[in-house]
Amino acid sequence: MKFSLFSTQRLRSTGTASLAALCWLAYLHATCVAAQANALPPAQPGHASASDITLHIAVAANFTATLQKLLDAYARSAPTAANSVISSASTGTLFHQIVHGAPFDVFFAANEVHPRELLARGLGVQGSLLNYAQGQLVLLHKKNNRRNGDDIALQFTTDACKRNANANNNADALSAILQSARQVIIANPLTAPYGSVSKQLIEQLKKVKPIKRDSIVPGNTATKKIPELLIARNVMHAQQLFASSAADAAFISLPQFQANPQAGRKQSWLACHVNTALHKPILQFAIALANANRPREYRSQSVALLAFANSNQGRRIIAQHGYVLAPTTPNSANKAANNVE
Amino acid sequence: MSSNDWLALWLTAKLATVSTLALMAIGIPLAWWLARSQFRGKAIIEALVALPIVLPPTVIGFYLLIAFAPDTAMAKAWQAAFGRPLAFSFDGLVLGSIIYSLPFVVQPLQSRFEGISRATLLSAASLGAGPMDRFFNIVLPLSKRALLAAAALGFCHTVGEFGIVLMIGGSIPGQTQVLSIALFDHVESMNFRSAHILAMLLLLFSFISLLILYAKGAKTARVVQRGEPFDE
Repeated sequence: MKFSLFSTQRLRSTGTASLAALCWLAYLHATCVAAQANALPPAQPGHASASDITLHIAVAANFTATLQKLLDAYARSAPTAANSVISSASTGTLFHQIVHGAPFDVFFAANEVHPRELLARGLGVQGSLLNYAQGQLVLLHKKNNRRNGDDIALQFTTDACKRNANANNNADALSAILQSARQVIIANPLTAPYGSVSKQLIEQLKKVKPIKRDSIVPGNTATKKIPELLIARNVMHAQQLFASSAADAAFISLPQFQANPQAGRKQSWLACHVNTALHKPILQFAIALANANRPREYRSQSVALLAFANSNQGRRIIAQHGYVLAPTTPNSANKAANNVE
Repeated sequence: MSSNDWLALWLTAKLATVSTLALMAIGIPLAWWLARSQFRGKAIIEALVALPIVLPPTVIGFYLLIAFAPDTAMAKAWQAAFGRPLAFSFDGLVLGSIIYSLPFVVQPLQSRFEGISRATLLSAASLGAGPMDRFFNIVLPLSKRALLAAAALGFCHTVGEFGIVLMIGGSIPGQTQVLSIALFDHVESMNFRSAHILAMLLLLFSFISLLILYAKGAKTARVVQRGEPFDE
């Protein structure tokens, strides 16, 4: 018997397996390049540098659909626009990812605190902070929403729930809906700005209009507790939980409801606008990120994207999707452009 | 399927392939050492290797998140060596997958290696075969099925990874958004149609892989199930 290290016979099977694995990897890589080429808009002749750049955009869940529309319009109107990919989660989650080194170039947050904190930590491009929108809350509830057979919620879903309803009537309507709900879904108050505003709003409504079932439905001895809170990861998740669970109310953002008013299939959904005077305004800020691992072209592209969001066309798209426009901020693109180093 | 889904499919296959190759490179020597070593503290190493089976993925994910943060020594060393950051990157996912799938590769191999009789190796040695020679020409060929089972389990387990990727990967298309994460995002944003497609893909893949593995022979299945030694 002859033993030799790496004898061809013994190693043939191992070698074949490794070769197969390598071929597989090469094949995967080729398909990926093809997939990416299909996924991205065709490169513009003469602007090779921009087409090589793919901006990674972190976006608060509520703004995801609107951002997609904004990017489509941007790609159409500006031939020099970079490609982009979107990651969406709650503002707090994305903030922590960025702090831990996630490779994002632009951050569309749903509050002001987190983008400012990134600036303070030197992770943002100075002067690129942009108040791109003001968010609005909507309280979703279901038509067959009844506790103990009463039908209170339905009575208030008319005028008091309109977008510009009187704040007092609106508060009454919201309280009534909350009272008749068993469970209310809100986004996680610790990570999602919409969630923390929803929670404050519920506390506020409890204080101003004590939720007492007895006063509304005489003789009803049911519990006086306010509805149980179900915590979703972000507003998108809140809407999904609402659509697929037994919970009868959920606080989400207005654009989500406008984009998907009847996603609940079987039961129809009712929405009650929340008057912005009832809670702290949800001021949504975006910022270009100073990612040290990227060439400066990325920063320039990020700043250009924010400038588009602040342009008349960009602002119109944002308003169309159900956001209140932020007061016009002077276009700080030039100032930010000087800071992309 | 959207282009993002294709990207996720490709990324998942790439992650599983790279991780499996790395796992085999680490797992084979480790399993051999565990099978043969008389070292007293061996149980500690065995327990560490087996940890991911019982540990919630979020625990591993949390520690990796801390370790990968840009200001840690590990992340700095990685950045210096490869010029790429570790956090929320494909590289980070590969490292996470190696830790997460290690027991699924090491355990079938270890039990197979333990089943190779000392007499066989001694007679080879008496005929003049050195340790490397014995390992490559006797141990590995005798463990072909266990090697296949280990590689297949490592691959499938990496495809099925979710908790760790969620914590250390974020959801970046083309970099860290693997199929399980893309599915999760579809459900969250109520794209149930896309979610159905991805879920069905993953279900079929896992079932067919296991089917092949079990159909390959009851012996392989036994290694997978109970780590029973066998001779070919």
